[in-house]
Amino acid sequence: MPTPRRSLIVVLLIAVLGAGFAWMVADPRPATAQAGFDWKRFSGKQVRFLVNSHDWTNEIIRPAIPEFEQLTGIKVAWEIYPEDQFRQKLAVEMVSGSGSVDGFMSLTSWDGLRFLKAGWYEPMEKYLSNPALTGPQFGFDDFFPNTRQIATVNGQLIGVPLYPEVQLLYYRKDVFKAKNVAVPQTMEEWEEAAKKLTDKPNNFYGFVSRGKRSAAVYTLAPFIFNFGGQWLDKDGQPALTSPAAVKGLDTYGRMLRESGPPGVVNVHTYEVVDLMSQGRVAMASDSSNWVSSFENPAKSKVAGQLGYARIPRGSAGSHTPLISWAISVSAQSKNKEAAWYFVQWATSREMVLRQAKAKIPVARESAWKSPEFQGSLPKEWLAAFQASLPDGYPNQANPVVVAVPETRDVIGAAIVAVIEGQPAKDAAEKAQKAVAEIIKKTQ
Amino acid sequence: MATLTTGRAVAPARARPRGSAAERWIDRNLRWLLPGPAVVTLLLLMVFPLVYTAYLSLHEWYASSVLGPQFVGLQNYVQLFARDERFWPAFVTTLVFTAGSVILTVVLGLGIAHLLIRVFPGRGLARTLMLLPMIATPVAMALVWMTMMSPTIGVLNWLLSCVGLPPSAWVSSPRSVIAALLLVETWMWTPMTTLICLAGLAALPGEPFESARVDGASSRQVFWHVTLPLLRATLVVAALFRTIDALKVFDIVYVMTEGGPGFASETLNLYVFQTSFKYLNLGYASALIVVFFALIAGASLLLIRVRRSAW
Repeated sequence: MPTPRRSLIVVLLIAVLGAGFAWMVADPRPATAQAGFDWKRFSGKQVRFLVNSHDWTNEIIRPAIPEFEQLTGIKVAWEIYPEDQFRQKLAVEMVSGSGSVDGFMSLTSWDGLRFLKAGWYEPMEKYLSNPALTGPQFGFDDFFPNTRQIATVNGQLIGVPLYPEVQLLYYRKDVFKAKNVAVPQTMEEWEEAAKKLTDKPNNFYGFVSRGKRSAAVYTLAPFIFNFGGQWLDKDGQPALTSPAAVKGLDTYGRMLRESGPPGVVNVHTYEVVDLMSQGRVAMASDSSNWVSSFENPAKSKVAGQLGYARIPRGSAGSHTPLISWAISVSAQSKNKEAAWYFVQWATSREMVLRQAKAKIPVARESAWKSPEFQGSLPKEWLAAFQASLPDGYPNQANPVVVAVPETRDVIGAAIVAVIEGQPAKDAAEKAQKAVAEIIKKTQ
Repeated sequence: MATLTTGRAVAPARARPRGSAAERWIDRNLRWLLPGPAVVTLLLLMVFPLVYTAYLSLHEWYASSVLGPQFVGLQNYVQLFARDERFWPAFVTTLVFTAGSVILTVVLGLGIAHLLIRVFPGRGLARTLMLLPMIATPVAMALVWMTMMSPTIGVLNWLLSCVGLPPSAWVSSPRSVIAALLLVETWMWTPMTTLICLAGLAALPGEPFESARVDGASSRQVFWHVTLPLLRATLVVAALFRTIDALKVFDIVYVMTEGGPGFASETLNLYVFQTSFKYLNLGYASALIVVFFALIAGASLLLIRVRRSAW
């Protein structure tokens, strides 16, 4: 039974809250009335992002968050997790449906279809086309067209791409010169060069790329594409037994078996970088990201001796997977506009330029062409990357299906089998069956 | 007898005058109340997850799916036993690995304990050094072994070449990967079996040995006909611990091969991990766990029965 004093307190509390609410509602803040873009429109809101650990999340965005909070009055929680834990944490929070996550990152080649089917992505188009929500300076056109495709899943724009990567051929200029070998332009020349440069008695090998189960699927991709193959056919069924795919698998396995280092079936991307940096191999194909590490004399014995080229072309040209993490607004968020404000700011011209200055590849043309970025990385690398970009296949690091990890594991097992000497046709048929089964079960 | 009866009769009589009804109720039910919290905790932490896992194993459920668990009956089990191309190889790998691990660690542990039980100068130091591999963190040790086994820069292949042997691929070939993992496992867990055997040996009575020697038994005869039978219970305990541990092996395999090359070293535990935490396929992973649990429980019961018969 409330005493008179207690009811007085309750009445007062309600009055104060009511007044505050009335003040908030009455606050006149017409976005269009201002000359510039109204960054303060969602002042007082809070947004929470779950993100994957990367130089961009740790060193570019995290220290700059106070600037955003000052600019907009929006409080930001920026929660960084290593990749595997990040996915587990995100899944748990999203499945609970609590709406406590306002935005997240995703690797669209890996997570895209699964997240889309689960309904986690807020479609981005309507935010971009609304001048009250997107400032005129943002300029989505500034992003390379092909990178915008990375953030497009099943025709739906689901976010903004962050730091794109293609695959490149890394080669040792000094070794090529000493052995008088030309930089390979075609798949045939590539295999030839790998053989010629291998010197097993001296523990030196012509070519290395990933041989470890799931990881190897990414570096196998250009071999399939360049002979004219694809991961999936028009109906979304696996196309691993097409002549082009079998030829790609066969070539990849043979090159690693004959010209690769021993134990290549345990080589992940880190081992590729080690073998190259330690001067044990003449050529490597892997993600374009590794340039800074190769050119760092503290980490690399071959700094300054590396050349960079496009992946050699096959009968269908030269195509590498073009992938990137993207940042998205959660469909479950209760503060979608505020979360979009943060995404817009984090991928603005100015922030992307900051990213370029830190030598992290960028998806914005303006930042890519900035003198700071152009001057900070080897010319050859820049040229090879930019040439690969328009021919890159967005998100095709693996078949874009719902269950990517399972699918990569079974295709990876086929790669290992071929490296170990099994006929490519048999391995491809087995993988084809397994992938078809996975798609049937999960889609 | 008489005192006991009076004791029983008197105790409640003494308690009755003091205390309220609640206190009396507590008094009466003390035997339920005291272990109560422990029992509830046990139910919550052990029985509930187990039952929930069994429940989930009858459902199809991806952690990222919009829908909740869908009841599919025994379909997960049918898939698992009849169609899954990874289950049976993982099952066999687990058994082979476990058998190898138990035999190697128990035999070596017994041998080393037999050496260390003797009195010799520096025995304390030798015993301490012997324990080191077990104390070290498995993940860190697995990484060190990985470096040593590297086919290009590893020290093990260099050692092989020093004695004129061809290099081995170690964990980088489907043919040698299990043996290489067993090498690391044995190195890491022999200290534990040594410790158990040392304790067992130290607790043995002296008389049977003396009488055996008086009867003129050779030391080999003493070992086979006196030490081993007396130590049988200890050895079964060591084997039991090792069996349970080896069936559940995860850390060294995950760090060194992630189940590869291909799926050549994928054990059941690793397959469960991949299915649940990488594929987020929680329904199917639950079915795997139920089978895995049955396997471990079965193996343990078998060994416990062997131990009983040993008494």
